[in-house]
Amino acid sequence: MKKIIIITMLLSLCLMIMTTGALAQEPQYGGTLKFSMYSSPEGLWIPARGASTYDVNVNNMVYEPLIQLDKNMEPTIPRIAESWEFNDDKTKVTFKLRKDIKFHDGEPLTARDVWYTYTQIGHIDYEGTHMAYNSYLKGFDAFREDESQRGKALDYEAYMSGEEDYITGIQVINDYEIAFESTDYSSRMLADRVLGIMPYHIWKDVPIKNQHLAEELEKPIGSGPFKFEEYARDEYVLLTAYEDYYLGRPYVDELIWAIRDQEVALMELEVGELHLAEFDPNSYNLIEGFEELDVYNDLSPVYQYMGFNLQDPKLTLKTRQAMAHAIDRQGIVDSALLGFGEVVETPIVPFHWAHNPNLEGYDYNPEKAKKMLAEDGWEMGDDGVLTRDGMKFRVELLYPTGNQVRIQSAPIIQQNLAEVGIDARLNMTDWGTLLDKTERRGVPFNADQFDLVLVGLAGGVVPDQSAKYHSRNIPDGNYVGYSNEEFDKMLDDALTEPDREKAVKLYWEIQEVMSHDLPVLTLYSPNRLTAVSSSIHNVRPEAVEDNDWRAFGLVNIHEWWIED
Amino acid sequence: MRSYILQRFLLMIPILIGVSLFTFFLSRMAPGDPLMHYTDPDFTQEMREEMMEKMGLNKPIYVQYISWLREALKGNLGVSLRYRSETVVHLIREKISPTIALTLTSLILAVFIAIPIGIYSAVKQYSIGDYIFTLGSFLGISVPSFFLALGLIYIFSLKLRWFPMAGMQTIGSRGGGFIDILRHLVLPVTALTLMRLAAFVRYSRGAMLEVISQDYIRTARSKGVTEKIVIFKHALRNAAIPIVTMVGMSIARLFSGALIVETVFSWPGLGKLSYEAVLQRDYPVLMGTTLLVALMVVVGNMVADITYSLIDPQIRYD
Repeated sequence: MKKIIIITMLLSLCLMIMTTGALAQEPQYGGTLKFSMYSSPEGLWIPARGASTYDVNVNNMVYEPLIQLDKNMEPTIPRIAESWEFNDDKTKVTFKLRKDIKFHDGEPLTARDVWYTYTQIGHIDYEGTHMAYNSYLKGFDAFREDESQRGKALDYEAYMSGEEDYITGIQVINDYEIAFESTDYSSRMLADRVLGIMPYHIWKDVPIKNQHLAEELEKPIGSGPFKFEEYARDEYVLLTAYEDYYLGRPYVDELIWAIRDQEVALMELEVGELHLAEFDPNSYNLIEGFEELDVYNDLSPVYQYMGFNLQDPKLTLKTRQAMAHAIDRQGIVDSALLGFGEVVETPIVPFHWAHNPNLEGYDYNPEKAKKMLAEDGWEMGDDGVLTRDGMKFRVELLYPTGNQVRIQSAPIIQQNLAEVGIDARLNMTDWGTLLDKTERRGVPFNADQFDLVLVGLAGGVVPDQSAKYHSRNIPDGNYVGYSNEEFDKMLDDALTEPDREKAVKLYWEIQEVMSHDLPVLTLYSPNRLTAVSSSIHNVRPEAVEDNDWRAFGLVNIHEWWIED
Repeated sequence: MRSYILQRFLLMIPILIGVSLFTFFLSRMAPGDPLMHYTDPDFTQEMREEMMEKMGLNKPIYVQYISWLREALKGNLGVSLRYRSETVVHLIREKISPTIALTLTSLILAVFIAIPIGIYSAVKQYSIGDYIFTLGSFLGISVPSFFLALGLIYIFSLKLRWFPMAGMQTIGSRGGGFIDILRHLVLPVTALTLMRLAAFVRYSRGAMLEVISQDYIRTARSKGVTEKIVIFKHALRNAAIPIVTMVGMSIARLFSGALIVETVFSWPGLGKLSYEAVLQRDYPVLMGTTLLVALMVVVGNMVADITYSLIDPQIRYD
């Protein structure tokens, strides 16, 4: 009963019919859900610190967040927080917590634990990547520089008695109410409250500095649907069902992630050794004959783009626009992605609430491209390469090893550019070398470092584009060197606009400017392909998972059950 | 003999320091750092520098090397930058037994299958059997290992379902026991043995051929010694030296693991550990695994040298 499930407006109807069909059967308790992942987690089961996707997969099952993102990447789904309320100027949000949530060791989850989870971010010994989750809160800067905290753990009693301030913007009101207050309005305020909540009573004596060495990591305690059981590096992570999960005990008894090679994982699915594996379009041929699995073809927030070195005198505005018309992006989707993806005109992906669907974009039109290049002063030379002011149009297309689809797209782009008279030389390097050439840190930006670069990014929950395109971030994040004062202001305004409708409008304008100016040309967004064994019921892949949307939507994992 | 061994041991110290110096500087000078995979735009340059400082990676390279060496001499190889909660020594200890189980089994199998085939091929040079084995070993050398591994899985696990596909034990079995591990060992060992076999067959055939054409073999034959004794006593004993060299060199590979086979079969071994350490720029782990292999190369050579004197009385170390 193999079927390919495409999550679109039209086909979700079919999906509903299919799931109702499945619901007619009575769910069964028991069994072990067997998932695969491709690399071993770092074993840093501390949601507040940030780690690899693989760690996030596990953390999402063991820990429960305050709130969760919906499928448009809006933080609207209540989890531990049953409700929340903003003050009038939207600088403060107060969460009301559910009172029926217990940690895996039986201790109730209260505001104290939420306070602990968030306050550690910004501590002087904090070693993590989530600093931005708190950076706009009141008192954050003072706390971050507080030398007297060095080597210490967080002390809740000292905080409650007023002895220690910690972050003044994180305020415990009572056991089941906690508020976050920022200096100015920030659109991130809610979206950043998606981290798994850690138990204070377990961690209270561990200095922040020593967290990663703590024995508490051997068997982390959370309040999520599964309890942590065992981790064997490069082999598996084993979790067991949490009887007292507040949304109901999971139907399955165990959840295990086996660390597997991609092709092998798909074959193991077919023989029933595994139940779920994500895979690349390249592997699609392999599973075409497989009977025992369903394929979920789902949108992803990842997009690939081609960055232009804007300091390069060859890559003027009209030339960039012409190149956009010259590149057959649909062709890349059809051949390299086998159609499992779509061309995108903006870095804000189509299912995001801030996505602008009205962009005209750039259709594949080599004739138009040639005309535009001629208008921009390029003349065809005898060797078939364009020339302007005595300068040949020769560029280097830089791209990293790793992503197979991206590697396959490079020669297509080279071919497309050659057709309009642009000579692009391919240069594949390892990731470290590529970063050295693009985001070379502390070195003044110049035209020689690179010409064109192919890279991918996962679009953020917050649609802000400042890190990559605000002129203050040249040359670090904004390594293409895009500098537009008016655009900077639009970015700042959008980020601090409390009114949702006005913010959407601002983001639409931002996308229009980007689509016109082309600091980068967005190429395509690959779909996320997941194979799931047909014996698993109640799979709802459309749900976006936590702060890392690369993980298959496991939001209702407690409802999944295995048919014998 | 004893003073020779002692001498070799002392010589190991400058070699290992040389290797560590070279690996340390080379790995630090390669582009990239342990944080290069953090592409989240929220993770700013300032935060990046702060993290580098906390990991002690912002000091000059030679200062870092000296403090690394000082700790290493005490037996402390540091903490992994990727698995922040684990020391390098612990990681290596954790991976060493699965790797040895895999590599040693396949080395023994390869040696005991390859040598007879090599002898046969050399003695019956240009026979049909020789051609078949020669063709087979060329195939073995030229087939990419991931293809061989996937092919074995496809045939014996997916189609015939005789053996499990991957891992060291059945998923969710919670330590399924010795038999379970043995069953999981079959396919990766087969893949690795087939790959090694090819080179070993070529090697022992070549060594044997060279000896067989020597004058003393002809003399032995002409004085009427039976063919069996000529081959196994006169020839093999002399051909053994290059074969021992080959096996001695393979000892280091026991510990370097087998990256491709380990990856395809999800075997939790040292090959994968050191490969990922390179990809992630996990410097302390990289240093640890490189030193282990360097140590084993030196030890392997020494063992081979000592074995020479046992096989061939002409070789003596005074």
